[in-house]
Amino acid sequence: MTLYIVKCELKKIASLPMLWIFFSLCLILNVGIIEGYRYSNVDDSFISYVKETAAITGTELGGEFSERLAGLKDSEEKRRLYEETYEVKNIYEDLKAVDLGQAYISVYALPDRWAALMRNKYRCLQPMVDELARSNAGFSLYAAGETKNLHDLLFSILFRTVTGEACVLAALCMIFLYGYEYQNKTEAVIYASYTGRNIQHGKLAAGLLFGCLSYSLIAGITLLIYLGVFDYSWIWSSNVSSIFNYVEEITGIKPFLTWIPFPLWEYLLAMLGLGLVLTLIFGLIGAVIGRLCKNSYLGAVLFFLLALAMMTAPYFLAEKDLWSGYFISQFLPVCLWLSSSVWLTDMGIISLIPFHETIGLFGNVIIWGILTAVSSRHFSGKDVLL
Amino acid sequence: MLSVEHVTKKYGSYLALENITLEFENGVYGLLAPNGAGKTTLLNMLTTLLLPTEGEILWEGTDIAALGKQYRNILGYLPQHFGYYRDNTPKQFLRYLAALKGMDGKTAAPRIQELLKLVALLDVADKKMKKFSGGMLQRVGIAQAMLNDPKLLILDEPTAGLDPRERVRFRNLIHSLSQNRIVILSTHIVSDIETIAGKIILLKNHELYCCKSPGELCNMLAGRVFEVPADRKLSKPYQLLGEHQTEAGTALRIVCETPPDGFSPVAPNLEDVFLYVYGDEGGK
Repeated sequence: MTLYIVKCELKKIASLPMLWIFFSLCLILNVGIIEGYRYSNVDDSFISYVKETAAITGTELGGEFSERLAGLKDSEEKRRLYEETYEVKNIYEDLKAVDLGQAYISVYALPDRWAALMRNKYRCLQPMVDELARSNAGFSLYAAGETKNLHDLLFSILFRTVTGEACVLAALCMIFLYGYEYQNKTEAVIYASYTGRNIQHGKLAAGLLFGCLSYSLIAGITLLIYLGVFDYSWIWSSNVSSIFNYVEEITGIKPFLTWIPFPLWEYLLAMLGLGLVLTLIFGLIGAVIGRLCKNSYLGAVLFFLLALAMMTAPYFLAEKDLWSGYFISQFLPVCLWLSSSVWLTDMGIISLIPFHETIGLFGNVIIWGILTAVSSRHFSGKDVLL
Repeated sequence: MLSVEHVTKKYGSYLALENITLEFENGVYGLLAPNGAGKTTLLNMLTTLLLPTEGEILWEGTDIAALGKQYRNILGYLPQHFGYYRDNTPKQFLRYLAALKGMDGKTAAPRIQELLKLVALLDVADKKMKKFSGGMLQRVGIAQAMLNDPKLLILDEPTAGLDPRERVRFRNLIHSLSQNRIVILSTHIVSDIETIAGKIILLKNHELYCCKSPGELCNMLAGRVFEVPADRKLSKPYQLLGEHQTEAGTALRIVCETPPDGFSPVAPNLEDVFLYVYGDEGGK
């Protein structure tokens, strides 16, 4: 398989006008989300004040921080910041992770088998809680009282949207590429050539490469716009487990507990990396569907039906108290995407193991990789009905 | 060089071809049968697009399925419905197909130029194919089939949709390409092959009817083809081949085991054989 063939396959995708329309709509939507959320939820003037203050007080809460803050000129923003930061406690010092697990067990009435696994997960989390307590991660200023808003916008809304867009694009473009010869009636000429049915390897490579490119472009441009709107230069080193960052769930409010300590920039990079892996998984899903279904339009419908089934599976299974099915379904690619706002954290009721998303994503790469290989192999020894 | 040995093809319970055995040496072979007789199925098996249900196809003694790309490397194929990328120019499309045929850019470029000249498309080499006529597209099709200078050239209904002038030009082109290679040309139009095919394969009822030279085929009807006026009542049983206009009026062309009174047999042609063999099955 020559690079030239991969390049030609990429060209086929790029020649699709719908691609560029979809791409533009994604960017317009993302800008709309940023501006809409900023307008309705974010207090820009307070963030600017925290930024200016942090240059004087530093970004670690404590006595010294409060003293320096007290010495600053009075203002509405100062009073708010002072209230938010005065005599804050190290919440991780007294936190028993097992208690968090117990809350899920009680609220969801988990059967013993799953309750034991849930307790075990939170027992595994305790050393991390201790580490967060020891390193004073909770005292990280981040964006003070606006942290939750900023974090939610970037990771709960924008990241999920961007990843979703790239995943849909990766899957649909792969389906389109696999159905391209059927649409153009070029199957006979191509499959009877020297390369023959092995053209599918070129299509797979091009489709995955395109997935990476589209994800990088959408995520890159959206992030640039986001960072143009919100100045992050002063908070990159803040710990994402700051007391100002938290998760609201049916069991109550809990800290943003990651499995390893993450400065914001490292957390963002890790999330972007995992998002790329998820995009590749959707590319592989597209390859399997494209191989099974010659007609691209039918393939696209099949993809959305499959995604819908994956999306609703956990709700259906939980409703029926089928807990084993529920926990397994949380590893489905669409469910992993839906839970992306809490990736690299304890993930609450969604998960029974540490690093659920990482294991789930790499497991999916293997599973969908095998399915792609099996479908390709099947195609290699199958009649091409024209 | 190429042999088809007891090949049968079934689609589920539908029998498309049964027990076909053929041998091909260099030269032009015409595959003549009405639509639906299994021509395309046979060709699709020769091009590895379909796999035989039974039997095997051998290239120089080795199963083509086992040879895989090695076999496809010596194969040139123009399918019945030649698809193309509408927004490509012939040059771009041929360059892409050359890559699929394992040719590098340096080898492909002069070959593409040479073939475009051969099929008289050099002046439109950089024009998008969506504006091309059916004849021009077929010429692109023949150029792509010849890219790798194949030892086995398979053309499935190559003249379908062409006007008479283009059909003649195409026939001459095929003839010029037929040196030192096997050319298998499938058609249901007798005139496409009667002057250029060394052997003609007839399929009937999904089986091989015969594989003979045009002369041998015509000899099958020697002394049995007659032309009689349309208004003449014939007492002996006959098979009508067709009717045509003569200076004396409408004449019937018939096959008759015993000569009608007062008529001498005429020289049979390939079309007579086709009509005689396929009788009620349709076709031309």
